[in-house]
Amino acid sequence: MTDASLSKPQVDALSVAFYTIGFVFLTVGCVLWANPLRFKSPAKPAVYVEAKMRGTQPVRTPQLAPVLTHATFTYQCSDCHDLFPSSDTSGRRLSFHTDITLAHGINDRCFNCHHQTDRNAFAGYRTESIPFDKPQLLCAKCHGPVYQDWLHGVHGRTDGYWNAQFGPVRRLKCIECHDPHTPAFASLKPAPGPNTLRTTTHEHDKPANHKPNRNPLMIWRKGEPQHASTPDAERNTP
Amino acid sequence: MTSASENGNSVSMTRRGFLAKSTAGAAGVAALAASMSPLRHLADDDLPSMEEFLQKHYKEMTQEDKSRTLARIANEVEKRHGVSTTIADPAPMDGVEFVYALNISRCIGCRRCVHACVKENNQSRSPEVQYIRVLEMQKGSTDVEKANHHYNPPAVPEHDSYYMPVQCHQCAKPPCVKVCPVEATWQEPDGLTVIDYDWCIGCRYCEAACPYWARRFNFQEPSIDPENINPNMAYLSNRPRRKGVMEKCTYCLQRTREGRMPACLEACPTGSRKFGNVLDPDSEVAYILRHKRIFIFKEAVGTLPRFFYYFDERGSRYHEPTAKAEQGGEA
Ligand code: SF4
Repeated sequence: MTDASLSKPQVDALSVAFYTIGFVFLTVGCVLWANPLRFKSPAKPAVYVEAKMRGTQPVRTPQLAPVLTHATFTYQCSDCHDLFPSSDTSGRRLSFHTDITLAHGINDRCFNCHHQTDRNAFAGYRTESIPFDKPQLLCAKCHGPVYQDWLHGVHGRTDGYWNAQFGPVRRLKCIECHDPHTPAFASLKPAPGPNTLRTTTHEHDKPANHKPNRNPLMIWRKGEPQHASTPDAERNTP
Repeated sequence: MTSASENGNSVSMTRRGFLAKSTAGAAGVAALAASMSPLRHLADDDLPSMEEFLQKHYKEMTQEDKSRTLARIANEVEKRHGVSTTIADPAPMDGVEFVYALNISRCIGCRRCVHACVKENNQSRSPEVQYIRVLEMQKGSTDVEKANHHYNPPAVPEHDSYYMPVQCHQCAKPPCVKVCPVEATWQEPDGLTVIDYDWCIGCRYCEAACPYWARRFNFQEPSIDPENINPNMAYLSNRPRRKGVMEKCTYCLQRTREGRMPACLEACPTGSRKFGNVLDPDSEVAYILRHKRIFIFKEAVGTLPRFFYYFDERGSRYHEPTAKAEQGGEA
C-alpha cells in the first residue's frame, strides 16, 4: 500500500486547489504591488484668473464734479468757459475736448446736456441747473422708465448691504457704468470659461470658430454635426 | 486496511499538503499586503479623528458641541491650508427669506460672477469647481440644450446671443433634500438649502435630483493656494470641503446672514444681479417681483425656485439688432 502510493504520487484535488489559489494570490499580489495602471487624474491644472476678473470696482470712476485735469493743472469748467463763451451752433469742429466722441442717440450738441450759461452744471428742463454730482436727474429727462427702475434698484448695481439696517447701501450712478458721451455699455473680455471635470472642452473636437457647440454636456451622437442647430419646430415634429 | 491506508495517506498528504498550504498562505499574506498598499498613501489626517467620527448631525448639536466642532475644524483648516481662521455659524434671521433676481436682458456673459464666487466660497481650483454656469443662448430661443458653456470671443456680449447664468435656485420644494438618504442637506428657515459636509456620504443622489444641475461633487481632494483662501468662513457654506462630499451655492450665507450682498452680485459690472429679503415689501427683489416681467426657469418641474429671471420691456440688450450695430443706440 505504502509502496504503491510512493511510486505513483497521488494528485489529490485538495493540494491542486491550494497550489492554484496560491499561484493566483501571488500573481494578483505582484500585479497590485507593481501597480501598472496608475490612477491618472483627469483634472486640469488650475486656470489663472486675473484679480480684475472678479473685482468689485464699477467699470467707470467718473469725477462727479465739474473739473478737468490737464497737464497737472485742475480747472473748473467755468474757468475757461466764462472767458470763451461757446456759440450754440451745432456740428462745429471741436478745438478742445477732442477726446470726446459723441454717439448718444440723436444728440448732436453739447448743450443738449451741458448748461449753456452755468458751465459747472448740467441743463435742467428749462433754465435751471442740475449739479454734476446728480447726473441721474439729467439722464431722467429722457430715460424716464429706466430712471424709475434705477430709483427702485431694478436697474444698475446696488453695493453694500441688502438692507440699510446692516450698513451703508450705495446705488451706482448712471455714469459709473455708462460713458455719457457714448452710453452703450462697453463690451468686456470674458473671464475664462469652465474647465471643470464635467464640462471640459474636448480640444480634439473643437472646430476652428469659438462656438464649439451648444451642447452643455458635450454629448453628441457619432456622425451628427456638432452644430446641430435644428430649428425647434423641426425638432418637435416626429 | 482502512486504518493503514488512512495513516499512510495522511502522512504523505501532510507533507505535500503542508507545502501547498504554506505556499498559498504566504502568497495570500503577500497579496493582502499588496492590496493594502494604497493605504501607504494615506495622509495622517485622512482618517477621521475619534472626535470627528463621533460628531453629531448639525441639527442635533448643542451649543457646546457646536463650538467644539467649529474649533476643531478651524484647527484642521490651519493644519491643512496654513491659514488661520475662525469658523462662524451665523443663524438665519427672523422674518427673512432670501430671493435672487437676475436681469437676463442686461447680463453680458462676462463671467465675473463665476470667479468672484469661486474666490469667496473656497472652491477647488484643480479640479475646478464652479457654482455658476453662464449659458450663452441664441436670441429667439430658450432651448438650453443648444446653449454653450465654452464661448470665448475676444469681447462679450455678442449680438446674436443672450446670456443666462444658472446657479442653485434655493427651491422651496427642493428635490435634492427629498432624495438625501442621510439628511445631510436641508432647507433653513430663511430659504437657503445647506449641506453638512461632515454628514454627507457622497452618494450624489442630490446631484441627479437637481433640475438646475446646481450641485457639485468633489471627485478629488480640492486644492486651493493658501493665498487664495477666503478666511471668512461658515460651517454651512464656504469652509473648505474634503474629497467625496457635495457642495453648492448658498447665496454666500457667510455674508448674507450678516446683511452683506453675495459675492457674485458685488462683482457684476452690469448690475444684473439683485438680492434681498422678499418678505420686506420695500426690498429691491420684492419690487421686481411686483413690477417686472419674470421668467422662472423650468417652472414646470414645480420646485418653486427662489431665483427669478426678469427682463426689461424697453432698451434691453435683447432689442439690439442681431447684426453688429454701430455704437450708441437708445438705452
Ligand atoms: S457678472 Fe453680471 S454680466 Fe457678467 S456674466 Fe455674471 S451676471 Fe452676467
